[in-house]
Amino acid sequence: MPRTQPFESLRAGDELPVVERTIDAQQLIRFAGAANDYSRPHWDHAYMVEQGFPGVIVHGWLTVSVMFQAVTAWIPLETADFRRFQVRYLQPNLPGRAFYRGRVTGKSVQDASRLLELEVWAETAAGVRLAVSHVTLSFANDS
Amino acid sequence: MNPAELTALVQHLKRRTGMKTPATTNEVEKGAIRKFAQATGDPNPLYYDEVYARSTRFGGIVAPPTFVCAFTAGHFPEIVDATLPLATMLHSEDVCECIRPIRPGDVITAQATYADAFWRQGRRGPLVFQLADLVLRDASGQTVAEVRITTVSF
Repeated sequence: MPRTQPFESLRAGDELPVVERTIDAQQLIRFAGAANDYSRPHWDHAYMVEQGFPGVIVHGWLTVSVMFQAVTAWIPLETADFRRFQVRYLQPNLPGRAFYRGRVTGKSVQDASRLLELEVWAETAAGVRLAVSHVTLSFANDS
Repeated sequence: MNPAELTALVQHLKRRTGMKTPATTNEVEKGAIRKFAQATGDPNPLYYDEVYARSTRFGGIVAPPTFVCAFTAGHFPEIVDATLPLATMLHSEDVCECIRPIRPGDVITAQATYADAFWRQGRRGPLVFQLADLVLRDASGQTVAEVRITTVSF
């Protein structure tokens, strides 16, 4: 079982270890296949240039998948379920390097469920937020 | 487009509310979960190593939480009107209620319903939003996940 954070020790304001990741155009093709998402903004460079973008953009669901890896690297899925998440895509995420960060925003115990609220986001090296998510984790009873 | 035209457009879109996509049913393959996890760069053996996964509280392989997006094919963006007189349509927001993890062998039926439309003024011009709800159910009819997807056109 991977290391986790005990629910009792977590506090609002605690920060997730930062995950740095580079997504290249090849990964967009792989993700398109794995997610059954063949929409044009993710593979048709000429079309995106015509639309006024620098080129293809990262799938929103790929961005959020990497954001959630920043969560599960710290609190593994083995110890807590994703109960609910909300994501807002703020800026088109262009292929390249980005940073995936987060912090604890609250915790509660409801009907014997131990819930942790997190804010997680992706940002560029210049600190521009690309997407932000609010996640509710539910800690498993045996963790 | 001026505000009167945008309001008329939104009224037109709202007539789609309640419209559904034809349901699709797919069996979840172990290889599809592995391929998805690899495509996202996630090395957790929980998504592909049966022996390891059995040792966890799940008792077997499960899919990553964002795997729900693999069921949008044929529902989204098909459910929203992609023929608006605005140049670009992008993904704006997702909300997901995760009821239980998706596992290999699950037979998942997906269906989307058009939920709403509205517009507001953005920094660089008007933004038109369209909302759709995707529901995933298992073979016993139990809901596995509910996803509300929002697009923005500008």
